[in-house]
Amino acid sequence: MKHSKHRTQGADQHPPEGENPSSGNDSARGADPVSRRRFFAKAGAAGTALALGATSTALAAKAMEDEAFQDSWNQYFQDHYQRMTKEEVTEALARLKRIAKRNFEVDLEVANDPPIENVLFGYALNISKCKGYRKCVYACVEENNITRKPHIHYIRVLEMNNGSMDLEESDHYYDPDSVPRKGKFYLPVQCHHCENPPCVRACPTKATWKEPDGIVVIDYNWCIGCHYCVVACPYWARHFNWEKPNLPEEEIVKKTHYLGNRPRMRGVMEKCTFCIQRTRKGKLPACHEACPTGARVFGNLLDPNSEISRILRDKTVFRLKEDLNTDPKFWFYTD
Amino acid sequence: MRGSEFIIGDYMNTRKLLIGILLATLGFLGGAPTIQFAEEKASSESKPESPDVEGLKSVRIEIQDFKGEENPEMDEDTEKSLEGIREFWKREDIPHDSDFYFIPFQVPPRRDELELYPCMDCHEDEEINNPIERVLEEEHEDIKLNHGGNRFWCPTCHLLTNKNFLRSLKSKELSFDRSYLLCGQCHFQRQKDWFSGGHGKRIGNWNGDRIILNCTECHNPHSPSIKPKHPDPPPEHHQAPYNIVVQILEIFR
Repeated sequence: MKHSKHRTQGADQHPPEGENPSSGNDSARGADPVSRRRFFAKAGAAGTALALGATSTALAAKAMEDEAFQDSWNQYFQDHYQRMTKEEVTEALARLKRIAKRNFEVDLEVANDPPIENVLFGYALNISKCKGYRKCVYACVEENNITRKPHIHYIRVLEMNNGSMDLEESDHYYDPDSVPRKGKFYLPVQCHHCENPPCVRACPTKATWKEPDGIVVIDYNWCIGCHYCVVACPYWARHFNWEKPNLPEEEIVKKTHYLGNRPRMRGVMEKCTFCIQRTRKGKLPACHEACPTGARVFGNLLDPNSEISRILRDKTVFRLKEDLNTDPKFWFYTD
Repeated sequence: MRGSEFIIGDYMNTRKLLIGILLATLGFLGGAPTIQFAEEKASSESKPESPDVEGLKSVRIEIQDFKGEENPEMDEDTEKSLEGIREFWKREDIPHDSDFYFIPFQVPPRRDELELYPCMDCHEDEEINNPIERVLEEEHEDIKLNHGGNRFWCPTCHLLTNKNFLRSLKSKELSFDRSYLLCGQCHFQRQKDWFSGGHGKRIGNWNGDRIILNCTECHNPHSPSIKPKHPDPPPEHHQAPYNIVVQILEIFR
């Protein structure tokens, strides 16, 4: 059966061949006992379709009045974040608040802070201070409203062998009784916010882009979840939402940003945004705040008197996979 | 082997001695640069756009004035010692200019959060001010001194005459709020990093007033090394079914 279908498809494209049996022409023949049955079947189907159509239009008309339906309808046809007008953005933000209220019964604050002028964010991490406690990992999960199950961690702390930078030998599932272990050092990896981001070039829908302050962001409503950016990113920074957001109500962080930690839907990519909802308000990222050893330094690269610029001038720094020409804004340094 | 030990020991001693002499002279001469600075500052008010004076201004370290300061002379002292550190890094044989190492900062006050402060409530009694090294049994028995390789005892860092203060190596009073000046007497490289942001932890914001944590917020001064801890749980293995397949295959191997 499959075979013949294939053949008829072939026959559409090419001139008919002599060996081809006339299998597709049953319906052209008129008076047959089979065709009457078929006629009744068709009539019945048409009738039910008509009835269904009528009821569905009635239902649709009713649904159009429903706020939840309207919100999901409008969200589906929402424009790209960068193309939206001011009114559209405020509408979208209000919509997100309503959806959060319906889904999680919380009053969300969805901000839309623009990038600050003359600011380029950069991060530096002292690997001689990092002890691999994973405090940053869980602070990040809480701050960014990340699905609790299945686990998504924006920060991946790699346990590396001393004297080696071979990432293939690293282990991020380490779970000994106490860290740091002898002969190991710890290398936390998150989104490096490259100046030349491969994920942005890989995205077929332009749902991800680099903001003027250097943060690589995603418009979650525009993302189709195709995973191209996962493949493109050399730092394993992009994560996919496999499930509906599984968030305990009392743990939802209510101060959110459209491009940052608002609760995401299922089937979109997400990643570290340098805690855009905090850093654009002048606060420090959650991982920086949680670090018990003070290994993390965050600041403005364009300010010559900021801590990070001094570290870049004063310390021996390196970046991960620098040879890929991604130009990441995340440096590692030692004492 | 003995010879090499001798050489290393000798080297260490001369280094310490040199630094000691340097810091001491700077301390003694501490008055001179501050006066100069004050004069230049005064003159700068008449000529606010003089480039030289601006350079000096940027070097100045801001210190927050905390409430309830007991000793007003204390601030002058600490400012003098900061000036001394600044002058030290300004030396010609050190390749960078002193601006390089300083970003203005503030430190959250700590003294009033200490449980047993003011110490002089108990230590006014001369009898318990015993400077002899011993096992502490009646009070402070929770303190396990693991710092400085057995060369330290309480009076190394606590002022015997006034226990409300820490003691600098010159036997001067240092507030508990400014313990970073005490630590920096030995750990000057760390202190340099701490001044410029390479060590320590900033809190609150990345922009605006720089507030950094004092050394003692993270390090227990009596046992300063950071202790090993149990890490938070690792992420789930997302590719669990794959792992099961691998495990089954490994059985048949």
